[in-house]
Amino acid sequence: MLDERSSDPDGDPRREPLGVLTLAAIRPAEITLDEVLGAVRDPGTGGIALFAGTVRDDDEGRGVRLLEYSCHPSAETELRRVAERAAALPGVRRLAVLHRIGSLHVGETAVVAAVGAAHRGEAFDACHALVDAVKHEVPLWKHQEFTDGTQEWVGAC
Amino acid sequence: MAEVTVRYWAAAKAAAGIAEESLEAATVGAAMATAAFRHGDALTAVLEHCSFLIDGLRASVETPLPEGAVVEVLPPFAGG
Repeated sequence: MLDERSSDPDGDPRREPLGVLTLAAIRPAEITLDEVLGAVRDPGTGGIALFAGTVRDDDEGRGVRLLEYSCHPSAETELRRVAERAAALPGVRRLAVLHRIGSLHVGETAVVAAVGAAHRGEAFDACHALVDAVKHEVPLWKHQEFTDGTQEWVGAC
Repeated sequence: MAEVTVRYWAAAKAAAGIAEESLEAATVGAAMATAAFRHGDALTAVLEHCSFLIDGLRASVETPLPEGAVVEVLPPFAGG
């Protein structure tokens, strides 16, 4: 768990303070919404955007039974990097993100991201940017098993 | 030509049928041509979409390979 309060590098009092990344991890254990939500609560926050990515039972018309998530050893470092970038977006006060690896069944939570900001627009924008960056920039992979017994790597070819 | 270790991840590992191997090549692209020749069409198809690390740093197909380098083959990321 990270709890490093960012300081203003220029010491300019007019500059808005940077948001704080309070939690960024990749783990096999179940993820709860409450722990991510709790990591972004703070008195100066007026809006929290929370995104939960869950395992869907369908992929382009094929029934999905199971998703197996795996990652490169650098994944948590990359997750922290993209999260710190999102924490620096305008208005962000606190930001937290957890991603799961291992075998997940339909309905289970694969990723939870939460952003607390002074106002809702900033929270929505940063949460959207964070989730997009997690999907595109963090070396995570998923292998899906379908209900008909076939399987494939998502996005591999 | 450098002797390097190639490490395959996720779909690339599944297509190659192994996690790691040694080969000789001058660039990332040449190493992947050798790998595709060894492991066939399944790996060739995956390699088209992969990105690469040399000793942990981002590399392109033109990047020259130092002797003893570890080349990592990363299929497209699919988190979330």
